[in-house]
Amino acid sequence: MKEDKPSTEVLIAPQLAVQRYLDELLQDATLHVDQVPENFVEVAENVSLVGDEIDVTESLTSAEKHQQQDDLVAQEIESEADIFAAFEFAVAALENESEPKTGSLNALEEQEQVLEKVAEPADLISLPEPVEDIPAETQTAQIVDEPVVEEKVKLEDSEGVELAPEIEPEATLKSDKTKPLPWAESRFECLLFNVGGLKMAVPLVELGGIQKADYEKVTKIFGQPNWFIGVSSVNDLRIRTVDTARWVMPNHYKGELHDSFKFIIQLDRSNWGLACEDVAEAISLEPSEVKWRSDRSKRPWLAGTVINHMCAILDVQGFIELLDDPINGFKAHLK
Amino acid sequence: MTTGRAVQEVDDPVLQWVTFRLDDEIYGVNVMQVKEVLRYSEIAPVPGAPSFVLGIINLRGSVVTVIDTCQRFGIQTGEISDSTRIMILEVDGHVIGILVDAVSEVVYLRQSEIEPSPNVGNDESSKFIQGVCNKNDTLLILVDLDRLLSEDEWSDISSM
Repeated sequence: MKEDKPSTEVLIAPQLAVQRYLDELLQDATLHVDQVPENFVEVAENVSLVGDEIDVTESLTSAEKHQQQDDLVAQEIESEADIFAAFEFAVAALENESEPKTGSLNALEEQEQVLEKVAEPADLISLPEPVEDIPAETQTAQIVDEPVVEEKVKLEDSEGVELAPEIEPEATLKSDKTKPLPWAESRFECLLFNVGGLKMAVPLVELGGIQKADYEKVTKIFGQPNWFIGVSSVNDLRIRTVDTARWVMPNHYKGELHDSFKFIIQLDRSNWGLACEDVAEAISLEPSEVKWRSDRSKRPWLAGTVINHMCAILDVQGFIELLDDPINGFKAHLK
Repeated sequence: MTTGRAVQEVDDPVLQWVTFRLDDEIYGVNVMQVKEVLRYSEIAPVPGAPSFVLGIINLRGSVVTVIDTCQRFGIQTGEISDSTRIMILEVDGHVIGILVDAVSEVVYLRQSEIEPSPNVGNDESSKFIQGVCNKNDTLLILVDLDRLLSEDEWSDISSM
């Protein structure tokens, strides 16, 4: 009976840490949404070549305003104590952003429409038309600041109308950066598991195995970093067991997975294993359901995030390379 | 047959390791470096000695420095019990003692059975590990005694 209280207390801290961590991941994922206003300033400058100076100055001033307000919003989000509000904002931003990114066909269609509009100057005047769509957009983004979103939408529309050729290279770059990994070019399956309250997914094609284990059975080896639990003997294999929570969120995770892990997820055919508390179900995902990481240099172990399942998908090969490389692997995570 | 076996022994020699326990893990040291094993006896602390030195003991008239193995390995220090032992070792011509929780047995290991240690850390103490080996469902951590102390540390001990 007495042991219940400490265990619940222990659970709360990791969960909060995980919420913050997921929030950070999602904010990272939406970074380029925030960068949009900068592009709009450039876009609007180029617009003067096309014509209609009044529209241009309007769009310039609105772009500046938007940038200022966007900075304010970013600051507000950073200082936001309410994790869930920030998270909802991130999700809303993702939803807004997801349309042009879901398929190259959609993007092409949009670009074609844009080119048509550029060819017909009369359409340039009809800028307010897309503004009618604002309510639908703002419904999801009301949490932050409604006027800001309104301006953003206006700018997005003006950008789309005026300067499709300017956007094209950026769109191409984005699609390259966010390209799914080789195993995710079509529908794929992942196994969900929980670590310190964080739900993670490992693609089945790169899952080496699941071994039952516990802390007592792991041989601890001195002189190793704190994320390295020890070596587990599984049949003829020596699995080097990683304290997953400590590895993936070294600055957020305060709990001790050491005492509570029950399984080891073997990474592909390597002798690396991730300690986890429990293994959940396998899920099937379309590549488009995943928000693929645009910059894998920061967290090479992270392939992407799935909002629907609130989980992070592992880049197993990236993880193994990181663990195998003593310079890039452990040093960044050592305290 | 005899020639084949001889070739195998040259290529893959069998080594004997004395195993001991420290903080619930089993370690091994090369039997050739173990001179004797003593029951725990009073260790006289030496003022000004390095932090990894527990003190000295009198071994039949000779002064032997005893190393705090747990401190050296960076693991939790165990309590002194009936099974606590002082292993007297000869390393690089120096005779030292190490304090361990218990001495277990002598095991025979083929060189090929020894796997490299994970060595994912940059901690100084990780260099003491020569490798790991699975024996009787237990993973042995084999200690490289030659690296236990640096030249400077040996000279510090000698000047005590």
